[in-house]
Amino acid sequence: VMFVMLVGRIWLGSLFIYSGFMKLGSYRESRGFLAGYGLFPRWFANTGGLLIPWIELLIGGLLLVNRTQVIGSILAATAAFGFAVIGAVTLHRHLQVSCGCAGVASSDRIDVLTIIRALVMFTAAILIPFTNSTNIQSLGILVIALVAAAPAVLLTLRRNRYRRWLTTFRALQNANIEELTALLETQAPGSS
Amino acid sequence: LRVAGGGVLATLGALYPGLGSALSQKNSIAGASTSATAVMPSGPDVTYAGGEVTAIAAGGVVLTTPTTSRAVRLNPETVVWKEVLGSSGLIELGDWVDVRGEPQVDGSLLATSGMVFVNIGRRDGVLVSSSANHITVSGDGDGDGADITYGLSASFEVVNASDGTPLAGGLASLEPGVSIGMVGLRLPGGGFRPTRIWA
Repeated sequence: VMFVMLVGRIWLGSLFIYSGFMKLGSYRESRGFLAGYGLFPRWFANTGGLLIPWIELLIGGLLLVNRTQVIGSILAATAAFGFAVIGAVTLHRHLQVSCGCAGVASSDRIDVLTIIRALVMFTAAILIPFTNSTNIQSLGILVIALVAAAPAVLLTLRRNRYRRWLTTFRALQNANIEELTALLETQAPGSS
Repeated sequence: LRVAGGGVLATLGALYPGLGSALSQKNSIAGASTSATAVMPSGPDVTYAGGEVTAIAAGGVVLTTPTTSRAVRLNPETVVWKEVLGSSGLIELGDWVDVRGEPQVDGSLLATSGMVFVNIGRRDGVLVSSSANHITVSGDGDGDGADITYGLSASFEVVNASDGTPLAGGLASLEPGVSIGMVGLRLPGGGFRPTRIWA
């Protein structure tokens, strides 16, 4: 049981860290996901969208650190319950809304799996304080956090590379258009 | 091993939403070359060019697609279709133009008169109802089968699909429930105005 709870705690902690970093990796696009549900006032959705990645990172960290795992589990259970309720309401209203669970990387629409995952998160979170979960060593916490952050780092690097590529491509395209425009000022040379 | 690997990935995807796409996300036009020089097109049909008008010059227009650009030469007498037939002056920046013509040695395309189509589009569907200046069709390719009403062009015509000859009764000769095709002008914002309808 202790081993299962340890795995559950690592999963839950890493999931929150992963999700927080993924949203921060595409902060501009991700912060609007809460507004997409259409459940909250605009100001609340916008503020929540800005804060949620940081809150997720905090919860993930609290869950992994041995001394703060209880407060982390309470916050995680609250968040997971919120996700489940939002997911259920969204499904009930037949809204086709992207989950936004991992920023722009998760374009999956909210479905039953989203709610099941939230309920499993909730269950794992409320069980953590009632077990003597094995302490995680400091190095272990660091490794888990780094592994959880890796996809977001990868995604950010790839997006930056794509932006650079796109800038170069557009510059070349504009140069080519200018070149072709100048070509049109000359007489047609004849058929090929 | 492949099945096991797929199972592991699916499990990870369920535990960590978006992980699969985060690790395998590809740039949508990553395959496009950043080399954009004037070259002789070597595609399957060098007599065709299509793209957005990104430049207009005295001798023609430059058409640009996400991956390439091509100069299209237009003579002053070249007839252009943009809902009605007219001169190349009808073409504006941002229009989508489809052209057929004669490839030139410098890589440009000399447009054939009457084969320059600006913002042309096609819709298919089943006729629901029609009036003097509107037509309503269903199953319009949007997938939802919803009825869509189009305002008709002032110069629209109804033709026989088999030989292209005009139908004597015009729209009145079409019974609701018949499958029709329409070609016409694509309007800004996704609209469409049919100029020719066939059944």
